Amino acid sequence: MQRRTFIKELKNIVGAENLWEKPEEVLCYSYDATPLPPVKPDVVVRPKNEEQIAKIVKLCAQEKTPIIPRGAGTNLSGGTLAVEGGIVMLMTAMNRIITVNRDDLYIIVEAGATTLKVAKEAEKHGLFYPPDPASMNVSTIGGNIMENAGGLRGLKYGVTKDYVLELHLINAHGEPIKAGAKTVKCVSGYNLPAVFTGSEGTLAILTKATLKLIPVPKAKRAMLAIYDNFIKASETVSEIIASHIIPATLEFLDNFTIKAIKEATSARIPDTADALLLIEVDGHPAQVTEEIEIISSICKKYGAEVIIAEDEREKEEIWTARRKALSALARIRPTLILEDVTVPRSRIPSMIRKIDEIKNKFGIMIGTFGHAGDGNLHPTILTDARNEEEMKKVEKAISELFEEAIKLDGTLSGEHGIGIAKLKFLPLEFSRPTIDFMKRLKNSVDPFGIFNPHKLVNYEHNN
Amino acid sequence: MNIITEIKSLEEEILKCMRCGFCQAECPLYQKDLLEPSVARAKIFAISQLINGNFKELDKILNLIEYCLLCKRCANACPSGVKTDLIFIKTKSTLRKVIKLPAYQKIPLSFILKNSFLIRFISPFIAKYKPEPVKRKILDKKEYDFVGLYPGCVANYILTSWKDNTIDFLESQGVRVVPLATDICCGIPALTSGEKDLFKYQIMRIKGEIEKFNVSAIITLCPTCQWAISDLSYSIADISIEKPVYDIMQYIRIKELEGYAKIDEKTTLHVPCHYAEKSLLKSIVKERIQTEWISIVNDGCCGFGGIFSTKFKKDSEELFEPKLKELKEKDIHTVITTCPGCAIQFARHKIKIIHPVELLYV
Repeated sequence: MQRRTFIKELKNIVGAENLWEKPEEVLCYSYDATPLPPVKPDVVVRPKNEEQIAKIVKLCAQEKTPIIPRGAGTNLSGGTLAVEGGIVMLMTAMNRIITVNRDDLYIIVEAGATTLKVAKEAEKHGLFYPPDPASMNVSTIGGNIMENAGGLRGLKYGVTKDYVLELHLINAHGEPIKAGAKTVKCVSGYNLPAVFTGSEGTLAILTKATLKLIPVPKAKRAMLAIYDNFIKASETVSEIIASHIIPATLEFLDNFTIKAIKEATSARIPDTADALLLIEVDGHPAQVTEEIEIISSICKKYGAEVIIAEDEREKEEIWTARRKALSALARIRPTLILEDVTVPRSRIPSMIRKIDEIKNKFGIMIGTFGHAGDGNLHPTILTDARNEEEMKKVEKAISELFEEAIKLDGTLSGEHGIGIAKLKFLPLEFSRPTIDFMKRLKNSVDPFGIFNPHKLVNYEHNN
Repeated sequence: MNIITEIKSLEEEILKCMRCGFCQAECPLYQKDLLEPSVARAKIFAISQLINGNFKELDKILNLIEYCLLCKRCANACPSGVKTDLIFIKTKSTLRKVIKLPAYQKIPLSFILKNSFLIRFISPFIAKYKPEPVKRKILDKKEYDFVGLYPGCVANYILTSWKDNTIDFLESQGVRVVPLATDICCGIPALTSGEKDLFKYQIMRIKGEIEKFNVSAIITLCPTCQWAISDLSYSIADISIEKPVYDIMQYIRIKELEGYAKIDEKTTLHVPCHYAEKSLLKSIVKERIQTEWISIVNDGCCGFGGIFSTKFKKDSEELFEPKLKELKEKDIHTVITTCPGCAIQFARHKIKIIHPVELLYV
């Protein structure tokens, strides 16, 4: 089909007002939040409902044209880049909250609703949607599900996958399919929600989701523990978990990050601080009081100076430091590469030590912070993409970072996904048969190779 | 080629953008359109592509940047501290060197700038509220301070009660006031159209007027004029205004001036995007004015944006609609605000707008 005819067909489906093809328009969809070179899609379409999506998919299947679904474009692994052109399918017009069920504790939403909208809607009904990726104010729930987004509360509350009950999708033939059920338990057939969650848009187009909600915890307390030695901080993490206390959040900030925060903000952190732990516990008031005391004494045992927030304002002050971490680091150099290697919790001290070694070996800047409680670290490399010499070193450093994570029984990516950014490292983590299994899954479900090809397993047409 | 070199001087600022997309949450236009070209990230990215030669159509980039309220919400919230407003203003000024503002826009613009009383012509189109004259007690403070009042065009020619009450209020508190440069526009309409030289000329004239008096500070009644005189004068036009420039409410707080008021009907506060100290405004207004305060959910940008409201009339209206709807639903007829631009937007939809200084008395 000629390009003109193809565009005309698309216009017939979504209407001319929901299609963009001018160079200056598609330019704005040639990037996401990953520091990768931009690639322009051929056309951007914004469907309004499942029927339109089904028609677009049928047309693209016939034409073997890639469809790259896109929500807010906050992806950190290049998942929304149109590697070899194709159409970007913008999900932002499908952003309705369909219903909140207070008896069965779930919410039904369209894929384009922002995470914030979902969380706020739940809150309005006295319920809680825990996954809180850093981009939640803008990211869409569809993006969160397809990337299996994490966040700060992973330790106690899990990640997006733990809240997915039922998904509605459009398959490669343009037919609606349903995965899972609205029930807490469901073992009818394969566990399809688990297959689609984190599939990075490579298997089907998500249109609607039913997500589990939980009651809002009655009480919360936050505290800050300041260490003069990061090893002691990481040992504290292990002992807290070993004492069978599960804080809602348990965040770590290293010396480099602390310095950056101090320089960029007015946060009150002692100069001697080598590492910080930010801890929040929630639950029943009595339990919260008891746990905060136990944690506090563990921190002190490892030589920490402990500050417990007495009110909302002090709590905010403690959290400001954590929230400012990434931006404070971003101000230092022009390019920021945010990694998300994840290791079993007990291996955190080894991982942090290795990051330090790599930093010195290559002479590059790395600030590390992250979700120590769930083993998910964010080594953040500060560099300048214009400096080829330095970028070569950065690339080598990243390879070593990944190798070490795997050696420590960890994973390449805790929450950002593989996309195209980490594709070449996948064989580090998985054997050939395992990767082949994923490829076969992809190829059988998407025989035309139209759903976000080049991502995750890199669809090969000859397979 | 000079154009690109000039824009390239912004490269360091542009590189600070890590494309996180967090500006989407702040941008009134993105929240309305849910389309990437509306948001700062896209505009900055497009400028970067102009610099590195991947995109060459200057007029397209200009169009992209023009569709922006310059509300500064993205700049204030940017985690990387990218000065988005300055990037847009500077790029626009540079592009305007080659893509001339059409004569039918430029001639009236410079004519109105030089004859700012002409803005009176919009006066019949908006509903004006004339508050009851306030009888203020003259406090015995004996020339406590001497300030210049730069009311801005709207408060000078249309919402004259704002200006009159400011003078009356300040003088009752022992502050001597000299209105200055009242007929000289701050030049913002020129700057937001990309006419930097015109802006510079206006700022020079204002500076000249300020220097005629030995005032301790300049008081403004428009947060956008304040931005122009205290900030853009230096960051864009390389002219430094030595005197501090305060909005009237800021000045009241700094000098701890007295003054209270009461409103006998439901009232809401509209905080202007350009207001420098939003939390100060909220606290001072709520502690000084006794009324039934109602907060509204659609408390964002009113959508006026000066020239934006003439260039993108429909979008400007769409931004105001949800607010208007909520005001009607909640049966609120009185809005307190401190920006003449926002005031026009509300007033042309027949909503009663009051500046706190119109009511405050001792």
